[in-house]
Amino acid sequence: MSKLIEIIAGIFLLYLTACQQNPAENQAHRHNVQEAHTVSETDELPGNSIYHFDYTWTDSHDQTVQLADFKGRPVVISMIYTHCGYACPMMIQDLKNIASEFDSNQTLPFELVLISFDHIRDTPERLHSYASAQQLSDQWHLLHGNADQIKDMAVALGISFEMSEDGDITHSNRKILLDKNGVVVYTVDGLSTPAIDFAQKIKTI
Amino acid sequence: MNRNKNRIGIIWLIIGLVLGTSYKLIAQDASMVKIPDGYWRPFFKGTDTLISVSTFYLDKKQVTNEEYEQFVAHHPEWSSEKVKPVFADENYLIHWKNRSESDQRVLSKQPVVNVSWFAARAYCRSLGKRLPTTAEWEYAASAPPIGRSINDSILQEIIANWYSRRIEAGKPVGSIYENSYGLWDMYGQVWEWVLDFDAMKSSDDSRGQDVIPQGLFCGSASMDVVDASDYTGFIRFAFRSSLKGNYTVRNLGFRCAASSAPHP
Repeated sequence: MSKLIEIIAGIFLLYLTACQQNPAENQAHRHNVQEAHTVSETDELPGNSIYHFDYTWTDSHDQTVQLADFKGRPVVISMIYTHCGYACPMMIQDLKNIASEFDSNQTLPFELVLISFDHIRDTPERLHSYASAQQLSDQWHLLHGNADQIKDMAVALGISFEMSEDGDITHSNRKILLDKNGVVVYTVDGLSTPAIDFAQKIKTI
Repeated sequence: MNRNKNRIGIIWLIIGLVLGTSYKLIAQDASMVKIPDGYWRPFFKGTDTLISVSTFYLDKKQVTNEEYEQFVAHHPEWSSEKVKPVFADENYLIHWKNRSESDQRVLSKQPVVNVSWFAARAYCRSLGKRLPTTAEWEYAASAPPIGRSINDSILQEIIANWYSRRIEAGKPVGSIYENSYGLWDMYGQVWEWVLDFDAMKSSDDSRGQDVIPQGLFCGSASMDVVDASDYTGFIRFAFRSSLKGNYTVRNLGFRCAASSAPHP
């Protein structure tokens, strides 16, 4: 009888030592390991630059990119997804129209960045074939990221979106002009918007 | 000798039981409750629109100043001195400025406010959690106060009274009311950030200009609105859609959610 009690008590004790954790310690640990973003060598940027979001993205050439890599040139940025049948091709057409306001024999004086809403289906390969089909030059950067960073960028850019169960994404259509430091200087909502106004804005930077 | 051994065994057993029980309490992460799956009917999308909400976990109480202070201590980039305006505007944590020691004591158990969406999100992420979605939040908040029936108008009364009040000095978290899920102060204390606070700005199709659901506006087809008496729901939606990710507001705090059972 006493043996049995000792064994039970022993097992109990073993279980305790194995499982007991100090919750405070555990929490502190999680605080330390789970940091995602926000600080890097971007201190010289203005405080309102979206380049402070130092997430790493993958472009359609499978290269890793941070938004701050575009520092030094104006950037036209928007968000799309490649399974989008109607609005996104129109958005791309709008951006092409803006580009065509510039001399086609020369490198564009700005870069075009398109962040995909769809972190699941828009793999870098998929973005690559989409860019080819749309005949986009190397100055177009189609970016793939994870759900968290996509949501952060959308909120930072004021673009709302919602994924439905059937894979459609409801989203707002906004094109944004960033200055050389990643600060938003011009925003246009909607589709089929006049290219010339946008091009004029780019030329003022 | 044998009797002695026996006694030692029993003592060990008692110690084991005591420790085991206390460990179990910690292991359950008492700060969150499980919200069972169900449906949420948004008041603006027509009577037949039901949004399913999967089982999730939600903090029982709003995040306090004290808890947020610990987070900032571990993540100095979120201190008001260091935070970039793109993540939080100039009023971020402004209520912490020039506070006396007694202020600090009083504030410590009150919900943290003047925090941006980016900041709230970073806080939750640091604990392996996230912000609740609008559907999750509204669904969880729709539960009646403990001991009251769902058909009772008590909830609408609590909300309406609260919304019509001037902002008063805060109360400690967990002091207004507990609902049947075990959540404290979903209404009556401060407003809370949700993950998709900006969702109302998107249109129901992606064809053209952004369209805010028509049912929301006075004079427009209010047929779409499920319950016209849910004026307070309207106010919440209108408030959320006026926000931006880096905005901070003096009566806007947050609590965190998790999709799976939280770690102990």
